[in-house]
Amino acid sequence: MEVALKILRFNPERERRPWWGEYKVEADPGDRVLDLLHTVKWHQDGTLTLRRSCAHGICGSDAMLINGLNRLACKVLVRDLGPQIVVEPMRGFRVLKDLVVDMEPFFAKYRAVRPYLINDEPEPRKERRQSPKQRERFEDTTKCILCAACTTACPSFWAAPDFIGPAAIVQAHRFIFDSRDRGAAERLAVLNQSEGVWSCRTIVNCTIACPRDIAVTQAINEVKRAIVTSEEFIPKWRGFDMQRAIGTAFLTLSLGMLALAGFMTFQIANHILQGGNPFDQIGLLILAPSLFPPAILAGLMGLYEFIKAER
Amino acid sequence: MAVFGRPRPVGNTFELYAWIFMRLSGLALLFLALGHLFIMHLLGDETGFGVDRVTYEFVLGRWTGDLGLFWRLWDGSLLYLAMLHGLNGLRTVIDDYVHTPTLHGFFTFLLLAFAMAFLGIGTITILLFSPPT
Ligand code: SF4
Ligand code: FES
Repeated sequence: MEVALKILRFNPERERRPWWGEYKVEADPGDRVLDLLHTVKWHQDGTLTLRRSCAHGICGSDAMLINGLNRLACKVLVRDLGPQIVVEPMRGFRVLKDLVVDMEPFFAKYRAVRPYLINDEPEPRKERRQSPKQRERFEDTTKCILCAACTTACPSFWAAPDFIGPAAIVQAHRFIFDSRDRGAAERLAVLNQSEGVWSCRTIVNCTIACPRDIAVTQAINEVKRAIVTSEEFIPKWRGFDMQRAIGTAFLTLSLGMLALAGFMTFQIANHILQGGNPFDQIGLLILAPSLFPPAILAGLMGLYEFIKAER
Repeated sequence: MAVFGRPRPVGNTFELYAWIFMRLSGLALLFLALGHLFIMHLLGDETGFGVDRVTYEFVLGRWTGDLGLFWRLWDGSLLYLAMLHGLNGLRTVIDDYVHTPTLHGFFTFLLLAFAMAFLGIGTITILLFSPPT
């Protein structure tokens, strides 16, 4: 099949603004976008510049905006995109040339979370042991290949380039929840700033973008929760326990909504018993039943918090 | 070469507490605001249904009756929680979208001034309101 390929080209040293390069490429449906870019570079226009290394989705160097979504060019197949493909560099970084962006700010933030094992305790004779369950705790975030697809898909990052970004938080998560590591407090202190996790507005673009299928937003929220429940930042007074407090809040809310819904039902019943037309009370008729699901949900969430706190 | 993209942590816990406040006030507001909606717009009595029966006398009766303190507390918490919840939401919007320092300061100041004015008027009303004799 023939693919119409559009690539956003830009050479800042020579050109004043980016321009669209259009190429017709013969491709197999099973080809990857990276193959198309290779065809262009090797046979049509040698000046096209891109980064790639492994070509098998593990080095993280060829994340780019493909048909509007951040993906790895070496992982996405032509058959999943159709005959029209648009390729742009990742958003939010300075373009060095064509699809190559300046990743230094990204790695500076990566270094800011100290992405290495911190543990000053005397070394054990063999290795630092860890149970499969302890390992499971951070399994997901070990998969990150630092491709920056998540960070450059994040509107909070576009709005505020100082935001540390999802990738750095994912990397911090990988060590914060590692039972062998002792640097959690240090990392949480870095992330407990307005440019840290608190710039995250749970937009979930990062999770959609991640080519490694990491639950990025969930990892960020786990870090937020670690900060909220850490004694470092919120002094514990007389056995006050954030988790139980949240649980209690949810349960109260649930009971409140149930009471409200019950009262409304009572009102409707009363109205009908007095020979009234139930549709006079159309507002109640809609609101009362629609209160039950959130009430039950809030109750379950409250119970969940308590069960978690017990563990 | 260790280039850090950001300053060392400064130990400012404001955002943390703001975040917690948003969650807790959100939970409380769900209850307060839904209850308010229910009482003001849905409940009926012999004078009519929903918003039709909300008159000056209605509010007067609520605030000065036996449960006066309760309703003033309710309305007061609604006022403060909703105002601060909205204020903080708008603050983050300004943080996200306005990057020129002067403009940022200007909008934040404007927001704060508005919020203070409304909170002030509301507080005075709720605390000092007494029925005309
Ligand atoms: S979390 Fe996923 S999208 Fe983000 S840098 Fe790591 S692998 Fe890439
Ligand atoms: S080239 Fe290594 S991830 Fe695509």
